[in-house]
Amino acid sequence: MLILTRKANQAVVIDGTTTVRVLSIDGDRVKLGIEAPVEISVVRDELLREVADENQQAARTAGRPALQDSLRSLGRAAGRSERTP
Amino acid sequence: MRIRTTRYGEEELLEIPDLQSFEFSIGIGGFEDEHHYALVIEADSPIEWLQSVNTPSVGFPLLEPFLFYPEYGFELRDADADALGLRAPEDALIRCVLTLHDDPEATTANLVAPIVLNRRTRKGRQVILQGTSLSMRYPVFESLRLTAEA
Repeated sequence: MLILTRKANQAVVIDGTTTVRVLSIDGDRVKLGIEAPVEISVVRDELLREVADENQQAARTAGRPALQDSLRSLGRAAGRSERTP
Repeated sequence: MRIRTTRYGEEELLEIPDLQSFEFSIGIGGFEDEHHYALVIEADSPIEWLQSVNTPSVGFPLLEPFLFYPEYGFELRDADADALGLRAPEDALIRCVLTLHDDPEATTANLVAPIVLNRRTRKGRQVILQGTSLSMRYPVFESLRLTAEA
C-alpha cells in the first residue's frame, strides 16, 4: 500500500487520468475532489461493503429446503399459480 | 450446459441452455472470484436464480423489479452500458437480488444494486446506484400482491 501525506489543495494523480485532490480538512472530515474519466467508477467504500454484505446474506439464506415453501408463497403473491406437486 | 446447484439444499444437476449463461467480468460484490453465472428460470414461479456455474453453493434468487415496484428505474452509466456491450434497451434484463427468509413476508429485494444482463452479448454485472433513496432491503411480499392485483 502506498501511503502519501497531502495538505489541503494538494492532489495525487493516478495513472495519468484520475486526480484526487484534498479540497478541505475540517477536524476528522476531509473533503476530496475526484476528477476521473467516465469509465472509472468511484464509489464510497461503505456502500460497496454494504452491497457485498447483502449479497452474502442473499446467497447464504438460499440453500435451505424450507425456502421452497416461502418461494411458492411469493409466487402466489405475484398472482401466478404453481404446479401442484 | 450442465450446472450444479444447491439452491434448495440438496445438490441438483440442471441442464441450462447456453443462451442463459452470462459472463461477469467484474464479480458480484462479496463474490469477486465468480465470473460465470447461469440464469435459472423456475417453472411456474417468477423467481429466477443467478447460479454460479463453478460453485454450486453460490446462487442468488432474483426477481424482476417491475413485478413489485412498477415505477422502478435508474440511469445506467455509459461505462456500465459499454462494459455490457449494451446498445438497445430491449437487450437488457434487469433483476433485483432477493434475500429470502422462512417467512415469505420477510423477503426483501436489493433495489440499490440491481443485476443487469445483456441477453445479446451474454454479459452481466451488478451495478451500484449512488445518491439514491432506494432501499437495499425493500419488502416485496405485500407489494407483489398489490402489483399483481392492480
